[in-house]
Amino acid sequence: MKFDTIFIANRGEIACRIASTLRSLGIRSIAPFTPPDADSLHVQTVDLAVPVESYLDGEALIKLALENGAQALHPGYGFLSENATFCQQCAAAGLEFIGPDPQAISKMGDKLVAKEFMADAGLPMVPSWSGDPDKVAEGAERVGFPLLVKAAAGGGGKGMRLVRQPEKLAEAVERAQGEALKAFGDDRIFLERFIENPRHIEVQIFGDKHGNAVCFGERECSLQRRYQKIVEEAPSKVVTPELRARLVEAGVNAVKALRYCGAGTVEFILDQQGEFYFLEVNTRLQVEHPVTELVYGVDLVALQIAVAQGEPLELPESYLNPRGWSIEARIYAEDPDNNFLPSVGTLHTFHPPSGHNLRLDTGFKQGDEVSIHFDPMLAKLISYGRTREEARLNLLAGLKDFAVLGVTTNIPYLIRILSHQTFIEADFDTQFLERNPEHFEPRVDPDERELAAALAGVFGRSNAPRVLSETTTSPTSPWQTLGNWRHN
Amino acid sequence: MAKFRHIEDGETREIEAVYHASENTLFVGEKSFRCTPQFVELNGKRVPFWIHREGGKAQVWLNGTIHEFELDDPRRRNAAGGSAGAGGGTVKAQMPGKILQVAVAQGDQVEVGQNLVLMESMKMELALDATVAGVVKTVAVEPGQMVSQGALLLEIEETKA
Repeated sequence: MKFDTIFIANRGEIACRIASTLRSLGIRSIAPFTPPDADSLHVQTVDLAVPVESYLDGEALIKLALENGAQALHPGYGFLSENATFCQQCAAAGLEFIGPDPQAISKMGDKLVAKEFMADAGLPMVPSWSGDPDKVAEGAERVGFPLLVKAAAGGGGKGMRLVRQPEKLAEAVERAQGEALKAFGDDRIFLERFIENPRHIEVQIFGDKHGNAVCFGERECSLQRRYQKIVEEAPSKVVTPELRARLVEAGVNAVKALRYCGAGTVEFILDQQGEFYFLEVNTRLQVEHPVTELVYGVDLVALQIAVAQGEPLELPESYLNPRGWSIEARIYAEDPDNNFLPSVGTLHTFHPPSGHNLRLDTGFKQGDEVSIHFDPMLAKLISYGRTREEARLNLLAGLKDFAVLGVTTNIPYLIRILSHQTFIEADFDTQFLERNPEHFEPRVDPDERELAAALAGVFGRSNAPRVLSETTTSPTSPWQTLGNWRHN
Repeated sequence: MAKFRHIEDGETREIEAVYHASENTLFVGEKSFRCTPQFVELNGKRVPFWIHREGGKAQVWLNGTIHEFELDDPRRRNAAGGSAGAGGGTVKAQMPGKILQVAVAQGDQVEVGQNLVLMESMKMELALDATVAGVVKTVAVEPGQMVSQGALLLEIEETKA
């Protein structure tokens, strides 16, 4: 079945990203919007925007999709994208959910079930233990220290504890259970060997309705803060063709075992000896999917739609080898020099760079309000180069030209990361940024600062053409309500 | 040379800067930069800059860094304590000098704090801002004109709230 209308059950940059592919495929796009989003970019990008009370109101979204003639629904990432019940509701209403089936979503959504399932499928596992909470000490002995206490229903670092000594175990378990109960309404926990200084490597999987399985090569997402990815790239400097073949084989096995349909990601950690272990499966399109698109020359959203339409996955051999290099930087409205507190306000200046080796995915435009209601990610800037160094320099130049005023962003921090010797050599692991915060403190050039003050004095007059507006906005914000909104 | 003060770590600093538009040059203290209202040359490279001014604060985007300043603008202070306030709607030249710019025209609605006239005196730029809200009744000068101290520049018919 060919779709002529697709409902995008999302907002922001990912809604714009999906709408762009729909436009190129000649498919009509519909997206919902809540009142604060009435003038947002995604509303202006889609062919039809319809008002809703909440992006999480699955029934209302399905009703709107059907009323407006959509045959399929793309959930994007976040919101309802990994909600098996919503997926079932779509199917019951006769609306094709662009993603895997509800069984795959619920199996992979439970991290314990996912581990057991993938262990049976033959994927390499980090030593772990789950069982009767009273026997946790025995479990810990079998797993070995250091270990992590993790929430079975968890994600995003919630309910996670690192334990190095046996005597600290009991307290850590209790804390993790409490946190897990509060965050997920489920206090089950499990133990897992803690791999020191690992790298985060993931592969892009794809399955179709005919049992075909495909796996694209790796993305490296080792640069993280508080378990949130900041800079991602494809391919990885440390993945050899032999290692890539093994990663891809594991990805293909995962697709086959799950009878997976659509796009997904299998995440691994890679230890310093070059061994990789299964981490989790994300049953959706990832935030960092563009780096795979650039080095494999593929439109993953178009591929998702083809698969949902029942077309078989028939990819040329060249899809097995990455071409060139791509790096993505996530631009957040947050203050890197003040404990990364989220920043809100009006984007008085929002002037993204341009260049033929740069791609910008954003849901914002100049004049928009950055509010506390949603994810503080303003944009993803993605570069391409023939080599890693070329991609790095392209991204660095782009970030230096990405002017944002009115809201504080992490752009200066990203520039510092990309300029750092360790990044240049790709000699990092997932703990690198947190272990070395002093490397990324602001270094203000006093001459540049003096020049900036002079420019402000000379050109910053209220009636000068460069000044966009005098405003009296910027409410201060309750930071505390944020935090759960980012997606990996 | 116009002097600009900004507050840094609670300390007021003064920068002398002037922009020569016809020469595309910005003089900052002893230094000079090739500059347009959009770009400035830094280490041989043309880099864009952006300014957002809100009240007494300015944010400047330059070369990937945001610089924030609290500005202490002498021209504003001159205006606030100057002749514009004396007669309410009557704006007079506080010092002899040359009119550089007239930012409003007869019939314009103006707000308190809005810039009306920019003039040069004693090699300093002086911005005369409105201290009352109202409609511009008369404009008595034009750019390039030399004026003596106390000369009538323009009149505003005050709008009563």
